[in-house]
Amino acid sequence: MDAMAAMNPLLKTQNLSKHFGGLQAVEGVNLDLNEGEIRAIIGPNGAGKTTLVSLLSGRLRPSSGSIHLNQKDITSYSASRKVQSGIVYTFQVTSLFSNLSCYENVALAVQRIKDREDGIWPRRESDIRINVRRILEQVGMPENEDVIAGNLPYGHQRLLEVAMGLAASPQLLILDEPTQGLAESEINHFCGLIRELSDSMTILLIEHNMQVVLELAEQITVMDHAEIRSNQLPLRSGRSSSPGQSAPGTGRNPRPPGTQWSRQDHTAQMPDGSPSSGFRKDCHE
Amino acid sequence: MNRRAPRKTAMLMAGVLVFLFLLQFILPAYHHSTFSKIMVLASYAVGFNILLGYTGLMSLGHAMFFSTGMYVTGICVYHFGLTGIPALGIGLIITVFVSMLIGAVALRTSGVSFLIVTLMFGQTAFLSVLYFDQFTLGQDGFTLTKELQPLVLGSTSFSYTDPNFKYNAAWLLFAVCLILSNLLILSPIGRVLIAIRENEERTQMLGYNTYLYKLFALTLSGTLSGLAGSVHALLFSYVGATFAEIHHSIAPLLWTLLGGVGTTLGPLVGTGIMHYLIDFTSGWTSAYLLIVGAILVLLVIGAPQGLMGMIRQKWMQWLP
Amino acid sequence: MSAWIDNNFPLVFLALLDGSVTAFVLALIALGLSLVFGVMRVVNVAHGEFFMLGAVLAWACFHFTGNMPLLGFLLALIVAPVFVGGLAMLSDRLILHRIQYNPESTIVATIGLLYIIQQLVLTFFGPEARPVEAPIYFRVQFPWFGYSGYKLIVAGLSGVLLLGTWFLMVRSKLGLYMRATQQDAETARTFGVPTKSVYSKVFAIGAGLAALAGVLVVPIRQADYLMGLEPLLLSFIVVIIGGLGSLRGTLVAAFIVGISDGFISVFYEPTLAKMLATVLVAAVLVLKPTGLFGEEIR
Repeated sequence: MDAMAAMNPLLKTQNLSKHFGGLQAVEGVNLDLNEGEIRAIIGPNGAGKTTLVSLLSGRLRPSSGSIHLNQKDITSYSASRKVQSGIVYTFQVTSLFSNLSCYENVALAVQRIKDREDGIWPRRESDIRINVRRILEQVGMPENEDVIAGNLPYGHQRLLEVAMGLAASPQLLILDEPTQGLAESEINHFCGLIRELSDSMTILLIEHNMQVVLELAEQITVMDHAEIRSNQLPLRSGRSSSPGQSAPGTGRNPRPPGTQWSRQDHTAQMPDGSPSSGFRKDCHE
Repeated sequence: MNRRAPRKTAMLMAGVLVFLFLLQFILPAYHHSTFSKIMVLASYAVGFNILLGYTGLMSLGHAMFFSTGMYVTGICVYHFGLTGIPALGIGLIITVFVSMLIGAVALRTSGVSFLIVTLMFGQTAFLSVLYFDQFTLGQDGFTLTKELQPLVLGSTSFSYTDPNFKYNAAWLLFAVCLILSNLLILSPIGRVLIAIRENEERTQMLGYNTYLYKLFALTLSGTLSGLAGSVHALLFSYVGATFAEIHHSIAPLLWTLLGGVGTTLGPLVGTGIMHYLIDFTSGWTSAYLLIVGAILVLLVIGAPQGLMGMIRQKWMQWLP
Repeated sequence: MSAWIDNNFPLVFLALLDGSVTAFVLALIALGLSLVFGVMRVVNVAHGEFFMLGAVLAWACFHFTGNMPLLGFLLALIVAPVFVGGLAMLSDRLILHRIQYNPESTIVATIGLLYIIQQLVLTFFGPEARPVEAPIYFRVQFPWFGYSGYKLIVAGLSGVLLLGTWFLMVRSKLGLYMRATQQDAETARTFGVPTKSVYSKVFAIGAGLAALAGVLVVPIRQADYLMGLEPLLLSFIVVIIGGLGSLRGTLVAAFIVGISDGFISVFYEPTLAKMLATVLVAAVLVLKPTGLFGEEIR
């Protein structure tokens, strides 16, 4: 990451706190997220991780402190306004429209963006359809368009959740324990997808699975007892290489020596939904 | 509706409307006038269903919107000597404002509180009708038979008492409501409303200001209900406090539940069946509302999706 | 202000008296509604019909005992809550349990119940209002006017019943079960609380309280099959202002609504009183959507 990004982070919280009665769930958190990074927050259960991201995403209002996105104070924004300004949250417990088809689920996320950009309602359904199909393809479930979301297997529900996050075209995508309850192969698929996404957005990840954290995160923030214990834990040199990362189908490069958790363009395998074996190694070695 | 099928929907709705239109040429006089009434009341239920069926908000005070339209239009004709169309227009404008105002307050609550609050506002509307009796003439209300001038369109004039005019005016009202509700449901706004019904918090977290969408739905719902009230006043020449009573708020709930909540044709089906059923039972007992109670309980236990809902479940997944 | 009170003291006093009597009875009815909502998270729209049934049963007892007001009254104090409570328990098992206490379905079902009870009473009791003689008749003579002693007894008995319910809540095993279920039904179940029977009993107690209120009120006003609607709406106003599910809020709000109802009824007129009560509700909702004592409903 360059110096400019470090000086002007995408998201900056200052002294962010949340109290529930006498309980301090989040206390004096200063968090900087740089544009384009993948940041993981780890910590024991009850450390305040989910509360922290709930504050960021507007599901909860902070007791004190401030949140800035692109130097703009968004502390007091409602949840829907925070989403509109680019912070999108995917739920820890899948929260889908489980009686509606996958198409409708994604279309809901897609059509709002269209509304905002063009400012004129109504958008043509054909336009929405193109985008919904593109996104379902991106997460690797194009054939599930007409399936009722509640009938999907759990792993696919998580993917749909991410698809809805994507469709809201976020600047900052918050993933709350995305791999919880997934099978190993699904986790691999997921890791690849997240990496692919990180080219176009900043990702904040709460995760208990350390393999996933080490595989994906460029920096790790440790939380305990409502506070941040360690904010900078660089694992490696960062994502300096691999310019062709986002282009699907460019094949897999050999892993450079010495960068054990480097995220090279294994993502190239992802769009067809079949993770490569090299990718699997990355996640679980 | 699991799949959107605008073309099939348009054909079905057109078919239903053409059928209703042609029906007037074969129906015997009694059923002819019954059907006029059913179409007006079904329009009221269509308005109600936009809120209950497609936004997931159950109102127990919708009679206030119906009676707002009815009384404003009626008073304009009775006290101020206006003709039908301007009276209808004023009724429409005032219902829009009343719906918006009531919605702005009532939508601050959610869940069961919303039900109770709408019930109370509905009751207040009823009490207002009794209280301002210099305008409303209290419980008994008033008739418009003498005051209402015929509708003049170009060189022809139509009397509001003419059965054929009644039928076609009622048909026109129902067609407007049915087409509007289908357009709404198939539109992006309708998609958001359905999303609110399914999972409001998630809808918010997709960046939608759900309060505004709900306010829109309630305003549209109240307005269609009020429009039905205005037309009811003009076509049936009577304005009375029974239309503001709680029973008249429960009625569209029953019709919609019976016909199928969240189906655009459900309100018509439910209204038709209930109208004939009550017509039939009130012939032999004064406690005909017993039927209403029994049907409500049985529906909730046995068939919460209603008749059209069952059809959708079994045969026509695309039914809006 | 004080000069105005001096000039109108008799009327103010009357308004306070009437308002307090209304408040006590209203608290009793609304407590039943609030209890049911608190524990079961459902709103019982047929609550007013249970009140009406209590009144009608009081009339029946009065006639059954051969027009002996006191005996009939005492009999009704037993018969009405037992019969109405049993009916409520039955409807809980037959209807509410089957729809799994889904809030909206329950409302629709209890609306159905409302019609069924009301229309059955219409069929067997008839459409006319029937008077019931007060069990005790005496007048309390104030310097300005005499006041019905029975009304004061109604207020007193309501107070006793409110205390009794409170006692039941904090001292009995059922009360403990109720509070546990109110906190978290799922957890209560795992700790061995028989929530299914708790629900039935709570629904029965709520209905029984309404029926008792009906028995108490019927000598003041007559019994008729439509009398359930007004107390239902007033109770709704009370629980909304007080905050759904908060028993403390229910009592406070019952007194606010009851006393203001007394004042407006004495100085203006009852219809206006009810309309203003709704405006009050609107005001509370604008300022605090969860009511005065309501917690955030999640």
